[in-house]
Amino acid sequence: MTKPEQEETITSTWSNPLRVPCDLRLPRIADPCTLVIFGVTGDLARKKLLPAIYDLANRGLLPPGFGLIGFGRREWSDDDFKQWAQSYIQEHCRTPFHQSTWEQLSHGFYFVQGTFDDFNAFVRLKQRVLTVDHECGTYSNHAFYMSIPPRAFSLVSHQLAAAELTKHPSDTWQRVIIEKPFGHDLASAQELDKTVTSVFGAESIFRIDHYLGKETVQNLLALRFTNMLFEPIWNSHYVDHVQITMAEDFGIGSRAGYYDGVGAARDVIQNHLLQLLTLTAMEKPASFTSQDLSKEKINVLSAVRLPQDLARYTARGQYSAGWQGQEAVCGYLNEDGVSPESTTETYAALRLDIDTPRWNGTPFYLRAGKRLGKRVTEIAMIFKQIPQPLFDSVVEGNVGHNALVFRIQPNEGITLRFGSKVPGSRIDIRDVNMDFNYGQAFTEDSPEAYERLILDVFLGDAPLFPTSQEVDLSWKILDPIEQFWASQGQPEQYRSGTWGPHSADMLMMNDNRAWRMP
Amino acid sequence: MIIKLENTTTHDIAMQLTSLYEERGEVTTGRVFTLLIECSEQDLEQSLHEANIASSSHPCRIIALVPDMNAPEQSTQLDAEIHYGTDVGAGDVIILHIPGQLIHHIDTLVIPLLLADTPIVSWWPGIFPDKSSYDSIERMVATRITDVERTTDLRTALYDLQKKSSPRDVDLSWTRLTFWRGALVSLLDLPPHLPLKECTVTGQKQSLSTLLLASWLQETLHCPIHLKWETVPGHHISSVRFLREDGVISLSRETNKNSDNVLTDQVRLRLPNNTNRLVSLPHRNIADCLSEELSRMKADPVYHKALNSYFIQQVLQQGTDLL
Repeated sequence: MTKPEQEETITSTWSNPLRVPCDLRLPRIADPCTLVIFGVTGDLARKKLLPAIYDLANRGLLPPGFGLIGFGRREWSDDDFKQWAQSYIQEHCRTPFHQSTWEQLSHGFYFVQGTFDDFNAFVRLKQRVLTVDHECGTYSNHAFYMSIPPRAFSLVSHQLAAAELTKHPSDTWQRVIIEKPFGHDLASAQELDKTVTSVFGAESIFRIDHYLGKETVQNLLALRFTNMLFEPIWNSHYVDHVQITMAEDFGIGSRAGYYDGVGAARDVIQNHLLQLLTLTAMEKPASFTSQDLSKEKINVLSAVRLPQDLARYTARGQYSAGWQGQEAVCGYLNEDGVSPESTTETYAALRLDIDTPRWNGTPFYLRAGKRLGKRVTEIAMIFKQIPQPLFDSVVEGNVGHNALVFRIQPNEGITLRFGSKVPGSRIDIRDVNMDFNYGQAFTEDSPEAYERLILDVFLGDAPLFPTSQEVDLSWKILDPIEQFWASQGQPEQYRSGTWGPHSADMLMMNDNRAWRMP
Repeated sequence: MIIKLENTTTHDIAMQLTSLYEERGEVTTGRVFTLLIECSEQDLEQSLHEANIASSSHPCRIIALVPDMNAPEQSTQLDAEIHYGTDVGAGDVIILHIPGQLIHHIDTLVIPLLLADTPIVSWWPGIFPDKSSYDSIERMVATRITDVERTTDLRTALYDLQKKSSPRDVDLSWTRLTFWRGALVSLLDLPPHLPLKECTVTGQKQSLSTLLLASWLQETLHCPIHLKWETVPGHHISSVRFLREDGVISLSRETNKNSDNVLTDQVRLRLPNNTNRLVSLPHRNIADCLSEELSRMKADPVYHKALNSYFIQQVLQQGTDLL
């Protein structure tokens, strides 16, 4: 046997002898790699991505060979870029800022100036990637982070392919990370997917839904599938209905260009809220691999049934001028960059049913909106009332609906609500809350969602990323509703700082139910 | 805030805690375990400081047991302090000053003060504990955390660790290695993946961390492992050097200091392809290590394999100059 052949065999069957399955203490350190960020000067990159990279380095989770290349329009040298990055990292990092860690990390920071339509810029990028591979020892593993508007995905992907940046040796990887929105309807999502898959293989595409990187969302799975307590009551026999809420207490700010024409449903229901719905409703996956997890999520999404009467069981609204707490705020139609005739909704609510044996008869109500009463995301399981209460006050008052609430943000935790006797000689029952506060019982410095997700991309570990099939099915749910809304003219106005339009309350009242006050 | 209780009873301490909670409208349910610390009076402040940092990520009740060396042999007088409020991290702290008579049954002393239905962890900062206290609480604790870092007789301590610790126990000498081990794993991930010929670990004498690292490599790599002692004082581990078929790959601690005169957390990475650059390998302080153990609280078979390896046996037999 000649020597090169021998090496070949060793490489193909090699596994790291130091990595043994029972060594659970070892940190998950990623492969050596280069991360290329498109849109590096954008909000997401400077407030989330760069600080997350620093925090990973500070926690000792980045590989010894790591490089980062920022791609942007500005006329910057590498040093300008480093200086600019440092100021944002110092402001937004969650672990303490150490000069020495930063210096060592920023050693591998580079900047390539250019626009997406300039092929020469991609040639320069290619050269830079090769230098970084050599200087930082990143072994031709590359991740491309598309922190850019979706309309630019196609151009950037094709430029990368044309510059032969997507070619790589067989024992290395190229991955691409894309952010929502994944299209604006089913057709555009499939089109987008086709574009990106034609350049990168399907298994190399990581779609980030940062909600899935949140500790509390992962804890939802831990809670459901490690406790005996909840599983027996996790079905339509005991659960009356489920409310999933994502409320924001701010307006669109300077994002009119992105938001107008998109609206609350496409912006957050299609991805975050439907993902939360699948995790709440799905059956136990065979394992925590992306394949098994996605299979169960797809089963739920395929079983979602839209209401027959969309006028009755969906609601949308637009915030009008008013007061957000102490601050006078303008209405959506008066925001900078929004057309005064815009029909974009800033609030959306809808009822969905899930046709599985577990959830038959238990509706899921989803609502999301801007300029609402406060910033809160939660999943509330509202239980049925007890059939024959022993005490009168249960019958008379509105008590006795037990609730199990997962607070996703802020103040992450779980609330359990149940009735209890009011002290005194009479038997009066009042609902009380039992609270589990995630931040109190566990770590204060749980990793930021982006830290977790970026590390997962480097490790090629995909369970927390939605698949293209999940994205498509989510659009299939939303498309008919959007089409219906498109024919309905202006959304109903609601006063800023309140809990949304009247039609949303009517939606619940139709079913003799009411929204929880989160 | 501090409440001092002289010549008190465990019952009184428990009552005092309950009334404090009621007064301040607090609940104890957020606390996830009880941490027992046994240490000397002079180590107390520093140990509580470390434990408080760790408790911010793992809220707990801390019970510090401080043997009172000056108390008369027959004394059974128990003095206690309760620390609470913002200066004690995310938990509350009970300090028990224990005279000679009581030290032999600390289990019954702490039982009335433990949080209900939550695990107990014990920690002896700096030195390997006295046999009686180590043994007396074995049955009730989830994990016994020792730390032989300041032990002057490593040979005996090592012997004790091998003989007395149960699979759930751990010494922080091992926890200090987590980042080093992680870095070595990713070092071997770097292609080409050729067979290793030998490996040399260099570190401080009297450092159990160095011994454990070499032992772990011996158990997993199946190539000759050499142990070399550092001549100048510094880090536990100075360097690890692999001889691979294509050349030397190594990580070695830099002795540079930063502007605050603290050793930097960098190591120099050298590879056969002439790579020579600094990478970050953070130092671990006691609070970090403690925090790591508190989030695990389960047996670590890899540690016990390294601790009881043939390699360590050989070192123990090879005479004092190795320790």
